[in-house]
Amino acid sequence: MKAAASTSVGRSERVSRYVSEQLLNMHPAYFAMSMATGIVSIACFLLGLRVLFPLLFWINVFAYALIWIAMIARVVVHPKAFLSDWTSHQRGPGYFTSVAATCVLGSQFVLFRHEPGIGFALWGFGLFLWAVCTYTVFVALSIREEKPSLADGINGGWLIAVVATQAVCVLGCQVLPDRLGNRDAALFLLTSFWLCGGMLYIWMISLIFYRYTFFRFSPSDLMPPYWINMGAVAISTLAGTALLGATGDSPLAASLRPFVRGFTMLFWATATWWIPMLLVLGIWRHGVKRVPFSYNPLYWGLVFPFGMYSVCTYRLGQTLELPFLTWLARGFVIVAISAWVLTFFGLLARFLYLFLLAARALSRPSVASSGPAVMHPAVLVQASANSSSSGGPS
Amino acid sequence: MKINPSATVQQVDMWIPLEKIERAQAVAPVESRAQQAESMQRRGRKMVIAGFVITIAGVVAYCAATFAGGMNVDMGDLLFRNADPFALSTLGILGIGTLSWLVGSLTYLRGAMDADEESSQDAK
Repeated sequence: MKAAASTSVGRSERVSRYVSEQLLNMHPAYFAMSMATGIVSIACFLLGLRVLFPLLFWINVFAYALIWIAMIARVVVHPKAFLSDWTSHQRGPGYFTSVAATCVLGSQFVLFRHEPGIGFALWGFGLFLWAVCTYTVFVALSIREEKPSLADGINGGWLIAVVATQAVCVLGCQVLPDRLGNRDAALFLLTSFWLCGGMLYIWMISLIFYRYTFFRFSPSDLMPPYWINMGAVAISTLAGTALLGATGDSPLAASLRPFVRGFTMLFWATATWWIPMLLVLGIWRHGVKRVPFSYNPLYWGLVFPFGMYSVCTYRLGQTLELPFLTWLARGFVIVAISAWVLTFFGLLARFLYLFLLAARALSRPSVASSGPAVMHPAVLVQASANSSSSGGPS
Repeated sequence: MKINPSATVQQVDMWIPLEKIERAQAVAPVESRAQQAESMQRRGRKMVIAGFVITIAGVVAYCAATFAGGMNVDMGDLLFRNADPFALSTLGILGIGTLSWLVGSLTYLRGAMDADEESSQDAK
């Protein structure tokens, strides 16, 4: 009886230790999964893939809730790690993914479920998170005494701050003008957000481009968040089209219309310019330098830009009445879904591994205790769950 | 069957320590388990790669069918009203690919865990 009790205690200890380790290493940018799933779902909806978008919507609702639970558990169990990430140049900007994920989910509720109330609530929550992240992460990074060099500190993940700002603008255009009562005030606020996002992009991309071209660049530096270079301007394009669509008869918006149209085109052209560049760099990293693919939560940061490019191109085609852009949007939605499937399989493989490990621990406690490090074939399993070690490119 | 008497005598005289026999008997099944684990990994890897390829082919076929036909049917129409048999078959391909990936992953992971256990036991 005593032996059985001690075995049971040993198992539960192992499980709690494992969960605690996972929470300790959890990357703040994990909300990128929700962002990516949400935007691919919206792309499917807009382009008529009616079988896929409800499926992705419910996966996103589940993932969003699960990630929040994990994040809150992390705050409770490992408050030091949570705060240390907050002041980290490499991991801190990852918290902005929570803003973007909230706003993307809000857009899904408005588009798919016709629930502007839920959309508005999520917009309010997203705005709150945006304010908290913007005025704590950047302040913490500014006042930190020990700072890394530019080459070590900056990475594509910083542009998530731009994505978050523009996501607030996009959802706001869907829910705010009708709710606020004063359309001009709503559009003034949302246009300010859009411009702030554009300004942040110009600041950050200058530093990133400088880091690309004037510092040593190894294959390990080119992590998936670098695709946000493109994703951030793609969402800026989408925000521009959303503003153009929300203007109505507002005199303020009417006067700004040509300016917004011009800048929206500029953002789209910049996003398009990045695609071949990032593809060539990706070929150099994986094809020439032979860096293997392995699952990492940061890969969600690669799926999101593909989905966003598809959505923004489709919306731009509608706004500027250029139907040929729909073909480009269709091509990119296929790429986005494929990238989503591959990344999702990687995540699923990690859960399968955990499931098998737990099953073995229960049947043969002594054997599974060491936790063998198994690598999945071809792509996408990093069984040792070392998401923390990849805190963005150094 | 003829027996060479001298050889028989030699074999009888030869003394083999009992521990050596036991060790030889113990090693044989371990080797076969290791081989089994390796073959599971090989099989699993093939199924995973096939699963990836089939799933992506299913995605591309489904999207192409939708875009080409201007199809605007949801899952309910496809499954219960057979609104578009071709789209349904592309979703079937997608499902087969996913299933192949799932089975392959489980096979591979089980094989890899078995192999890992074997190597850790050998190390002990």
